[in-house]
Amino acid sequence: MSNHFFERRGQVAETTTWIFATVAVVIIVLVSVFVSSFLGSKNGINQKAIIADKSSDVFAENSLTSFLLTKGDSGNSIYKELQANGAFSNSNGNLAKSILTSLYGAYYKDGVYVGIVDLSNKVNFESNDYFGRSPVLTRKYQPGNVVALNGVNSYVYLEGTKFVHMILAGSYSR
Amino acid sequence: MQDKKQFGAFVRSKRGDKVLSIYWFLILFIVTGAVIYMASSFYGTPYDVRMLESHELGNQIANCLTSNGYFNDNALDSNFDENILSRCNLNFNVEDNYGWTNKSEYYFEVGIYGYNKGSFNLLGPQLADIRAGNPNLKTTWQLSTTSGESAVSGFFSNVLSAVSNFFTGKRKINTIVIHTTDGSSASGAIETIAKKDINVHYMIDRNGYIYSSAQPPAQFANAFVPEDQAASHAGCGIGSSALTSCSSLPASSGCIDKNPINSNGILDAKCQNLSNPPQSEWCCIPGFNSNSIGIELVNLGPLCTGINGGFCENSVLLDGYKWENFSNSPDQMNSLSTLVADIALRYKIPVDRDHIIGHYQITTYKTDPGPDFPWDSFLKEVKAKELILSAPSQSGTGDKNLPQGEMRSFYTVDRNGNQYVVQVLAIIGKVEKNV
Repeated sequence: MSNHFFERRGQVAETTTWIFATVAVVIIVLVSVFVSSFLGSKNGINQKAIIADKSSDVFAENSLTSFLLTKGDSGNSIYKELQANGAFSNSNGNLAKSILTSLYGAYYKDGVYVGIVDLSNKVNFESNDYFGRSPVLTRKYQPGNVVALNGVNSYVYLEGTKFVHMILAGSYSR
Repeated sequence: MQDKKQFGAFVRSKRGDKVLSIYWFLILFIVTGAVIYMASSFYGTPYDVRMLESHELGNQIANCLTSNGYFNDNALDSNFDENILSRCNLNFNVEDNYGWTNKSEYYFEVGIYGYNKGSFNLLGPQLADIRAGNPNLKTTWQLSTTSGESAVSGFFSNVLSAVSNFFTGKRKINTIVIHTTDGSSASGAIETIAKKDINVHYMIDRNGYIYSSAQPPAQFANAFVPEDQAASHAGCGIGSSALTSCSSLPASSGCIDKNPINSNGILDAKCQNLSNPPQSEWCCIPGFNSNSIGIELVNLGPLCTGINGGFCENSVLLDGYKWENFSNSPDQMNSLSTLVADIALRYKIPVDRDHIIGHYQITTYKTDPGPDFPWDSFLKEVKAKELILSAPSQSGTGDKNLPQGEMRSFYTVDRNGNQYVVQVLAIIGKVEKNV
C-alpha cells in the first residue's frame, strides 16, 4: 500500500510542478514580449530617425560663396577685395554679418562667425569687429566611433596661408 | 504477474517520456517565437529617413538654382517650374515603386526674392514662386507643427519675454486688434491708459521693446493685462463705461444715438460695412474685448498736422492728415510681426484681414492704425514668421504619419550683380509600412 501511495503522490507532485513551471514560463514570456514591444514602440521610428549631417550646410556655403562673388564698393568682387586687404572693410563686413546672421543666426544657436584666418598663426580663437569672437566647435562622438563637429567649419582659400573661415556653431535646430 | 506489472510501468514510462519530449519542444517553440518577436519588434522598426530626404531634396534644389556660386537666372523664367524635376535631376523612381506616383509624398516650394537688407529675413519683393508635388503635405506639415513650444527660440526672445500666459485656454481668442497710441512716447501712452482705467495686452515702443503684463513698466503696471484676461481696448465705451447713448458725450461730438445691434440682436445694416460708415453716425461693434488681443503701437497717428520736426518730418500726407510713417520704425514693425505671428500660431488665428484688424474696423470714430499702415507687406511678413516659428525641430522626432520637412534660405547673386534670397521648403510625406 505504502509504495503505491507514495508513487501516486510523487506523480501528482511532479505533474503540479510541471504545470506551475509551464505557467511561470508563459507568464515570463508574455511579460517580456509586452515590455519589448512597449520599448520597441517607444524607441521605434521616432528615435530611429536619421538626421542629416550637421557638419556641412549647403545653403550656408552657397551664401558664403555668393557673398564672396558679390561686387564690393571697389567694383571688384568681395573675394578680390579680401585678397587685396586681408580683412573686412566696413561695407563688406556689415554685408557678411547681415547675410549670415539673418539667415542662420536663428538656427546655429552657439554662434555664427565669418573672418579671415592665417593658418600659419596658431590662435585659440579668431575675432573681428563684425562677428566678435569666434564660437568654439565641439567634437561629439556618435555611434560607430564617428567623431562629428557640432556645427559647420568651412574654409575658402584666399591666398598664401590665408582663408575665409566660416563657423556655424551648435546643432542646426529651432 | 510481476513481469506484466514491470512491462506496464515500462510502457507508461516510455509514454511519459514522449509526452515530456513534446512538451519540451512546445516550450522551446514558444520561447524561440517570443524571442524572435521581441527582437523584431525592438529592432525591426523602419528607419525614418524623411528628414534626411527632405534635407537632400532642399540641397538638390539649391544646387540646381546656382552654378559656380552664381544664381541661375533661368529660374526667373515663367516656365521654369515646368519639368522642374528633370531640370534639377530629381527623380522619385525608387519611391514610385512604393506608390508615390499616385500619392505624391513629396512637396517643395521655392520662393525667389530680391535682397532687402532692411527686412528681418532679408526678403525683398518676391520674383518667382516655384512649386511641385503634393501641396496638401504643406498644410499637414504646418498644422502638425503648430505648437507654442515651437516658438521657444532665442531668435524671438524679445517677444517671448513679453508674452505671458501660454496655453491658458481661459478664453477663446480669434482676433488681434492693432492700435496706435497717437502719441510720441510709450510712457505717456501707458500713463494715459492707466489713468483712464483701461488696459491693453501689449504695447510696442518705437525701438521694438514690448511692454506687457510680463514685462510691465515700472509705473502703471495696471495698464497691461495678461492674454488670459480680456482687456478694455476695443470696447464701445468711453473709458470703462459702456456707451449706450450719446447723452454722455458733448454735443460737439456730433454723436447721434445709434445702437449698432438692433432689437433682434442683429448688427444694423449701416454698421455692417465699417469701411464705408455712415457719415453722421458712429458705429461700434461690441464684443471684441472678450475674444481679442490688443496691441498698441507707439505712433503719432494723425497728429502731425502743425507739428514741425521730430518724427513728423518724415510723415506721409494721406486723407488730409500727415501720418507718422511706419517705415521709420522698422524695429517696431519687426517686433509687431513677430508678436502677431506668435499669437496667431498659438491660438490658431488665421493671418488675414478678417482676423488681424485695425481698431478702425470696429469703431467708426477710430482711425488707428491709420492709412499708412502697410497691411499687405505686414501680413506677408507675419506669414513668413509663422512658418519659421512653426517649423519643426530637425531632430526628426515627428509622428511617422505626419510629413517631415524644413525650410531654409540662402543668399545668392547673378553675374550682373543682382542680389537674391532664395527660400526653399522641402517636405517628405508619411512613411509607408514595410518601406
